[in-house]
Amino acid sequence: MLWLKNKVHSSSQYFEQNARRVYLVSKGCCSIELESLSSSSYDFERLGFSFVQRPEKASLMIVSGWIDDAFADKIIQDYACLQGDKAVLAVGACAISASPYISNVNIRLADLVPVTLYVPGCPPRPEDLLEALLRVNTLQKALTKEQITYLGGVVKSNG
Amino acid sequence: MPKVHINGIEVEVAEGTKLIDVFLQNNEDIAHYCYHPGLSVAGVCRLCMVEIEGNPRPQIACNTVVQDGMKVTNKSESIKEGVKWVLDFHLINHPLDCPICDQAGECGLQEQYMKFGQYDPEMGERKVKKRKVVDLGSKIVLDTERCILCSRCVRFTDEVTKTNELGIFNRGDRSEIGTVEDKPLNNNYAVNTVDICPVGALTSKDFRFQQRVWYLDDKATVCPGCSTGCNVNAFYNDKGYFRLKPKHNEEINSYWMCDEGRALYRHANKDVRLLQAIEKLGDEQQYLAPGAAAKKVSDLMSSVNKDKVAVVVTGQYSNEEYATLFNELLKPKGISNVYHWKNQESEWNDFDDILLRGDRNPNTKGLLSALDAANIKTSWADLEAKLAAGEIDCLLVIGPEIQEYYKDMPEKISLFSKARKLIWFSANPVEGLSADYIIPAKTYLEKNGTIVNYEGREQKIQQMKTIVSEALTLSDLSYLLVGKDIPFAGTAS
Amino acid sequence: MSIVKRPEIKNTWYLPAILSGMGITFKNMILNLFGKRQMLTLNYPEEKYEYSPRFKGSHVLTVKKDGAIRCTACMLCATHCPADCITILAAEHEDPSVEKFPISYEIDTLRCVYCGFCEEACPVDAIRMGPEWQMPGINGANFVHDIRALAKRPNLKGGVISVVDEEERHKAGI
Repeated sequence: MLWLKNKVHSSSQYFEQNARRVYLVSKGCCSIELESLSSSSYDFERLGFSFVQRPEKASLMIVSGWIDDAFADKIIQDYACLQGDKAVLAVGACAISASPYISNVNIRLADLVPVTLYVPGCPPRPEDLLEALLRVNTLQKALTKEQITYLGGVVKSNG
Repeated sequence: MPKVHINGIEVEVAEGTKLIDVFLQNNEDIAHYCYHPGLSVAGVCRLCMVEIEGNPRPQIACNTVVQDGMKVTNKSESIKEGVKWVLDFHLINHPLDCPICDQAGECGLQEQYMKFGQYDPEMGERKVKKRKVVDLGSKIVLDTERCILCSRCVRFTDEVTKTNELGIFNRGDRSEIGTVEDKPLNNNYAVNTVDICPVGALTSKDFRFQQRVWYLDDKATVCPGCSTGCNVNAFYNDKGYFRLKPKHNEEINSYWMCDEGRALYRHANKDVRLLQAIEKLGDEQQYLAPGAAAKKVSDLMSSVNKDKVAVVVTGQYSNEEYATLFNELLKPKGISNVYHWKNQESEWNDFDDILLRGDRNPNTKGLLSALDAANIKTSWADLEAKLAAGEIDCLLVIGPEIQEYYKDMPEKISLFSKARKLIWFSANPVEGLSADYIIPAKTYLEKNGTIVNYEGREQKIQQMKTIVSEALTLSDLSYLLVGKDIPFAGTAS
Repeated sequence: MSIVKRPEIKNTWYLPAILSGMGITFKNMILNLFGKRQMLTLNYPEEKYEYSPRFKGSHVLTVKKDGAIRCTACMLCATHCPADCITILAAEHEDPSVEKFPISYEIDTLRCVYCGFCEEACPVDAIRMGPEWQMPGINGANFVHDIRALAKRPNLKGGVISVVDEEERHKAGI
């Protein structure tokens, strides 16, 4: 029964470190990968996360999909409603740099909200997303609020 | 006038035309390597085969003169087979160099293979290995393995430059192109051999490995190097300008241009341009926007008596710019101290018998006619006298765009510095110059205009990619100096 | 003639149905606890997914047998890339049998869509999509990978040797 104890112990560790409620603002192919996070294959609930349906209840916002003007408005409004230590993940090439559809859209997520973590890929594997989720809290604790807002401002690439 | 049927179309052509010219003039595809309209006929590549009715064997089109009533085709099955096999023979010893060869994208073998070939090579022997990366001087690199021995370069050095530097050495499949003991190929028209070489055997050191040709766009303009005004195509993309190649113009430059003119795209690229206007305040320099600097100069010129203002012009700007300069700035303000800066006037009538002339300004005639129209008959000695006497308070120098042909620049700078205030208008920084105002200018690749060559022929320069959009053309400067706004035209001129 | 079925006694009570449902749930839970059945969940940081050999992960630039970079800066990958994320600067090599090589090869991984077109386009097997998956990072991390990161990172253990070998081709006389 040692592994049972290990399982329970590690779950509670994850809960302490990571528990956040996640609000999804996503469209496009990455949204399918993001929704699979709550499935039984990649269960992120055992790590402490759960999806909520209103931004006022969430402290982590995940954005994916190409950003046009209407979507940009929604992102900014929803970011303002987040509670607690706000964090934003930019998932997928579309949100980070609009590169798959660069001839039609050119808004990057970093232009709109301060981004905590970038997850490159098209779409990234669910394990990448789990890795990113596990890093969000350590990052939040390691950086001050000013650092996150400042770093999130400029994407250090040509995209 | 003989009438010929080619591929079913009936055309009427001049007496003595070769068949291949008929094909090319009517935009019919015909494979050819050794034929070049500017050179003599060699008939060594055997690719331009055609079938003439009544003739049992295929004939080569480049050496067959048109007869009345000929029926010619190059689309029959036997001709297509024949061309495919000749192409296979050309490719027998050709190395697999496409990834490293500069000619990829504009290579004759690649194009003919896609049009006429598209087969698996049946060569089972070992390829003959020859010398690669042979240094032929400061301009050209030779790769003897890629050469298909069309002999265009040999005929060029024999007939056009008459220097006989290149030749074919050895025999059979060991033949190679080269110079005697790798003597450098240094005549002033050497890089034309790079243009006519259909494969990557001769490559230009200036352009080698800089950019892939499919990334480049090109537009036609006129070379500003001398008063001949050869037509050129300038190649550019987002990163700047990369090369100049000659464009065919039967009356002026045929298919060629000189090597000195090929370097005249470098001064337009961003790393050597003036990006802002510079104002000298005491020992320090202040950077301004060109419009702001022009306003300050305009105030300065208004504050000075019109007899104490002088303007020095060079023959390197377009007719429209001179017209605006005279009509908007000089006439309304009544400035009559306008001087023509001539460089090396004694050499202006030199001609090297091929293309290059001694007058290194593209638009001297345009400037002379503009000066005539404004009735200005000053001489350089007047300017020197006035400067020595200290009578010039404000001197505006419309500097030369191509500075390397103005070899007396240091003396002239010290002469011009005798004026109380010196304003210099130039696209690139001038070495040793310390003027009160330096205003950035646009180059000939960034504006539209008309220039007149040595025999009075008018040609147009075209705006392509604008590298420094804040820079001013001479027309813009004239408008700003009288306090008007630059009229919006959509393009620079 | 219609057949009317009256509900059986056991269906009119709630408890038997509830208990049978809960029985299924608890049976599954106990089976999972004792490992008698494989659970679908990938326990992420402890277990990692096994990717197929064709997985398209981080790029790898291959090297020749003597350790020099295999890429010949032909720029076919940069031309084919749909996201314009490859930037190459070519330079002349002193050895005439090599002739052209890249002095700068950069892939901007924030723009990359991991499509694999560069691997398809390369004529000399110089770039491959490797098995490591792309790592999430904060903004300050360097997302533009240069030759050192693409060919010589520690995970590659000295460099992946390319399949296309110039020496063998020259010896065969092609």
